[in-house]
Amino acid sequence: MTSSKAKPAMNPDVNRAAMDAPMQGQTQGFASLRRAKLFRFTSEPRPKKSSFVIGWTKDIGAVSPLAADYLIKAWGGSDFCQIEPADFYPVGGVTVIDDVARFPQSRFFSSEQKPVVILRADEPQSNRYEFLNAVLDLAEHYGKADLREPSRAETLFTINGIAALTAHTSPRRVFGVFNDTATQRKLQPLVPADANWKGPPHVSTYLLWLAGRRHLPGVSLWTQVPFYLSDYEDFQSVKAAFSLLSLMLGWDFDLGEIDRLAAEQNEKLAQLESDPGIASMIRALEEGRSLDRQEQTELIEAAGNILNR
Amino acid sequence: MSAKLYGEHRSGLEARSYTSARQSPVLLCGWAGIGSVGLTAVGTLRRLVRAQPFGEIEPHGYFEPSRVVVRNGLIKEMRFPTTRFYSHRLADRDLLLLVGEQQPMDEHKAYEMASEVLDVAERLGCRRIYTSAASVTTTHHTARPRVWAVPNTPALLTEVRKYGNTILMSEVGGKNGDGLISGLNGILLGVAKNRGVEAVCLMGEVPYYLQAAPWPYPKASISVLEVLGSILGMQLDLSELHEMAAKVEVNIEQTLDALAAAEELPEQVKTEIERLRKGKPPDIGPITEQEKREILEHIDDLFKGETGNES
Repeated sequence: MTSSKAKPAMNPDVNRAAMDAPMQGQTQGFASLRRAKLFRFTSEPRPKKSSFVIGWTKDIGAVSPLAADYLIKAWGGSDFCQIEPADFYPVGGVTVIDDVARFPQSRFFSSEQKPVVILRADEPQSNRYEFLNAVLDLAEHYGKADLREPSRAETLFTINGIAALTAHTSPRRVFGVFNDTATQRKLQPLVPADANWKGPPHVSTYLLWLAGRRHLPGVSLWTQVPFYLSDYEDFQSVKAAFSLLSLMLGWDFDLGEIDRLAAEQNEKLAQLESDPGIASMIRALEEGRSLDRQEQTELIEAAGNILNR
Repeated sequence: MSAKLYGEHRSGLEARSYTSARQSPVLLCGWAGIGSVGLTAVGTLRRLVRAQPFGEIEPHGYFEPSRVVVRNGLIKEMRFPTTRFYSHRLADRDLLLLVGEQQPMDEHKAYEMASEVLDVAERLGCRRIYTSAASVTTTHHTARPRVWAVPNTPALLTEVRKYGNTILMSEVGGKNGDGLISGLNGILLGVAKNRGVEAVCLMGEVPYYLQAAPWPYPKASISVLEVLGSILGMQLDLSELHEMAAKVEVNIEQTLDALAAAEELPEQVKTEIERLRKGKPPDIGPITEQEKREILEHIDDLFKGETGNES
């Protein structure tokens, strides 16, 4: 990208304030990014040693998008950039969900209050290697203290839910996955549980691994979500992830709204106890016992009946 | 995306002069595909001659990671499908082998990978390439598969006609010498042609009803290796592959028996299964367009409920 003028955003609801914001230092700024042509900037915040937080649109218990949304809201974040979708998503049309047309998005938000950049994105459907490296280009850029500094990066955080055989009445455990031992040594005391996994990698883990190859420190936070809440917003899990993230960043958050929403959801879910069979399944999960497939299906249906009302 | 040659082999290979006493090296390529024919053929040859790895195509831009290992909260390993080069010195020439665990899904990426393979081949003075793959035909699983050969220049036709158990497209009824080789095996032939490098694609016949089967078809790999062995003047001990082929054949018979006993299959499919169980017709021709359409309509019925891993 060589133009010094801001280009119009692709989506009509792009933050107008961000569009009107003065452009600063473009010639040394995003135009120098290796994959500059993949980005569409509407403004360019100054680099300020920003940490990077990733929130994917779809996630177990909606942990990832909700955590990102709360961060954006808590710090008055505004979007300043998108990744052009054509190379990474099907763009042959729009999907309509709840009567509204949806189109793939990957927006970057920055905050005036805190040194943080947040990516709120749909997972790329193709060319993931290129997409994730573009994200890391931006993370390195905004990890600088100022434009004269060579590329560097503060810590990259990804937040995800993970379905677990746990009860909604139990505390949510958060597992940490790190991409280098130094970051692990520094942050592990804050993460209660280590993760172990062999199998296909989630996009967050792929991103973390690519970040490690670029010497960009990173951690993925995996928050347990009771399996029967996987398709719903699990505010308890969001709170657990959010609280841990605030500890790691060393910043305080007002958790009032999440607390309220979590309490409301727990109140609804308390109705599950009215069915003795379902109640005994919940007790079993609380005691660390497993459920067979039939029981799991029954619990999922019961929770759905309550939460869909 | 780039090809990476390993340090210790890189200097040695580049330093060799193929224009003096030795002939130019020959490159044999085998990728994962139908019946794992190419992959099994070149992979077996690699093991038999104990070829040594000397480089690989970096996978990151081509493939998704297939597996991650996270231990005690730390990413220990991210595994991608490999596309690896091996070399082996024969009496009169060097043999280069390329074994690809997967083919890029995107045709532009496949073209890019083929170009990278050619970059390496040309850098090492290679002027002849063989790719190995499968040709889906109406052959029977009890028959010896023939090898369909397609060169990338008319000048090679005379030579190719001399290969044993080999057939040209023009020798297949109804084809008039025309056809299509999809995937990397075809693209590589084209890229090599554009660069003036001779290439021949050798395709072992795979019965149409096994093209979607979850197991390899070693019989076709044996046929391909017999042709390659003859071209290169190599005596290859293929007993391991023959054993594997025998096991696969038993597996096929059992599956056909099980399908014949199934009640819910359409009558047309049942008739076809009965025909296959009775053995191959005396003269098996190529697959026609009409047959291809019918096969594609019924292929799911043939393998409904069958699961397994390609090995």
